[in-house]
Amino acid sequence: MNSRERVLAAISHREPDRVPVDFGGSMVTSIHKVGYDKLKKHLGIKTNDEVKIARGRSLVAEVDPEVQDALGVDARMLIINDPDAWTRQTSLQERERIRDEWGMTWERPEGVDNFEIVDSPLFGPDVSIEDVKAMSWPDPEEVRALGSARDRALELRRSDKAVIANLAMQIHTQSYFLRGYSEYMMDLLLNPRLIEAIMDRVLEVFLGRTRAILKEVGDLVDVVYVADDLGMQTGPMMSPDVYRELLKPRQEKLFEVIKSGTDAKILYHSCGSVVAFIEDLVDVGVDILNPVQVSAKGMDTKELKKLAAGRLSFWGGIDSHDVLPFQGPKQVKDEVRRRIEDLGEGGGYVVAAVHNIRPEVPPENIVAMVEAVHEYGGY
Amino acid sequence: MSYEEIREQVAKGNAPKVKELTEAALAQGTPPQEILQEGLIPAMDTVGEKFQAGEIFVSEMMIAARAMYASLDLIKPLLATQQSVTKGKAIVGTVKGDLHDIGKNLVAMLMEGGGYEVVDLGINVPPSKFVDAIREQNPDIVLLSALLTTTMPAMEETIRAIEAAGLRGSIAIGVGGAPVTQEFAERIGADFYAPDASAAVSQANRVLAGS
Repeated sequence: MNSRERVLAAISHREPDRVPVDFGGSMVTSIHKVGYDKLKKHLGIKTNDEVKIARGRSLVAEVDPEVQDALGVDARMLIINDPDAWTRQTSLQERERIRDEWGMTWERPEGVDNFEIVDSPLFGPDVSIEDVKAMSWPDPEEVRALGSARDRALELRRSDKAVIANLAMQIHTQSYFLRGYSEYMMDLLLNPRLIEAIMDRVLEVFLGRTRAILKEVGDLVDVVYVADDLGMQTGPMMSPDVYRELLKPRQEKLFEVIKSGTDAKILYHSCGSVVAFIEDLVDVGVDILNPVQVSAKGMDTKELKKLAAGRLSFWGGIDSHDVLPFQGPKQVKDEVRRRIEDLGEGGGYVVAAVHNIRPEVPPENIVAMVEAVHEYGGY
Repeated sequence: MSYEEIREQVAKGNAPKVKELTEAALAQGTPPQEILQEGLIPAMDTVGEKFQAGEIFVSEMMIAARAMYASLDLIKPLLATQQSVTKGKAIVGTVKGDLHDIGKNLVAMLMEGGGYEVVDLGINVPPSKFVDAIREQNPDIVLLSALLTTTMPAMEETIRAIEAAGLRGSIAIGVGGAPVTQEFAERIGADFYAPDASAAVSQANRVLAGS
């Protein structure tokens, strides 16, 4: 059984030869640039190029195939529609300030490794639906580097790994980026029509781009990655009723368009506690839940497996709040074994760290995570 | 005007109504301190409890806080002329290297709604800035926030800097943020850990009552 077959079996709820493992297959299962440099040194792998960045906003590395193969992981990353294509590869020591295609200004203070939004056309207390209409929106037909996407997908396809199309496409997150978090959260209840107007324009951009992308590569990919954070550490970020009224129908539409353009499974990323949304995610057509943030309230892996009842697969689950950064290889292996026990029965589980691996995580722990899958993951 | 009405309207998040009720109360000669103690603090207390229990969410809490500010902004200038009217003074900030402010902002709101005078130092705050602010503001409480495991060590650095400046004895330090735990708080020598914004207020109350 090769890597692709292994992943496909798992996410189709069949038991493969062993539980698959992902490191570097998506923008949310990769590693911070600084940690990646450390890992390569640890593995004794020299790739000539400067670390390629998959996600500029938080300096997430594009993991080289040599590193993936040395570790023995099962998925490769296809980046299309990089949502942070606006970031430049400047030194961390410099302050960076950039305007993106949505008209938002992002800033990274010197010495800090991620960006914040400091201005947007839809910030402020007195924004109306007219302002939303009048704003200059990105062109839904324009997808960056779409021309080369099919060639890149074909190249990844030549490996025996599962190929993940990284579409991102976050309706709720993009909308609150544009509106500003506080105003957005209050508008959800006080001015939902404004939020719907913003979400509809965002969705229009995403639908156009999704159709164009899947026309090029829909037949070549195994998984499509999308995201929208619904959870916080302590529970849902918004009331499930509000989610069902405003966001759910729009997610359903986006995922329908994805399903009509590819047979790939939909991997949906939401940080935090999402246990309250499991039925909704099944409804809207999500196949795989990521990152399974086990440190958040109610994210008990045994319980989640029961709730999913063979309708959702899990992709992630290896704790990154405590085990990966602050414990040793032995504890990492115990963690992997425990999550495989909780989530692996009957397939439906791919091991990965909860979110991108931070720079302070010891390389030994990353190696231990993958090794443990090879040691304990057999069916 | 009844305090119950103010409390109800704060919980509902009706800012214009809260402002109107406060103006009416002040015009009748109600002491601003009483509006704070009998109206705003208990109202935000209830809101915080409901948030903690998962009965309401971020949106509801932010709307209530905004209504609370509609009153607080009117009575604050009047309170400032009186001595020791607040429960205490708190400095809040997200530590160096971390730009995440949602949790920190919720803490600042609830602390203010809990009767504290709050000085918000913002995000990416270096230890030296906390030290300077403690010297200038003479706070009772210092609250540190971090979302990333990468920036958790900056919490410890900040506490060490406060100690080195000889300011540790006069203040209580609280820490919070998604990856932060009780165990971590104890290890770095913080006085308390708060798992959510509402707990920050109750922990601050507890620590100050004990001292």
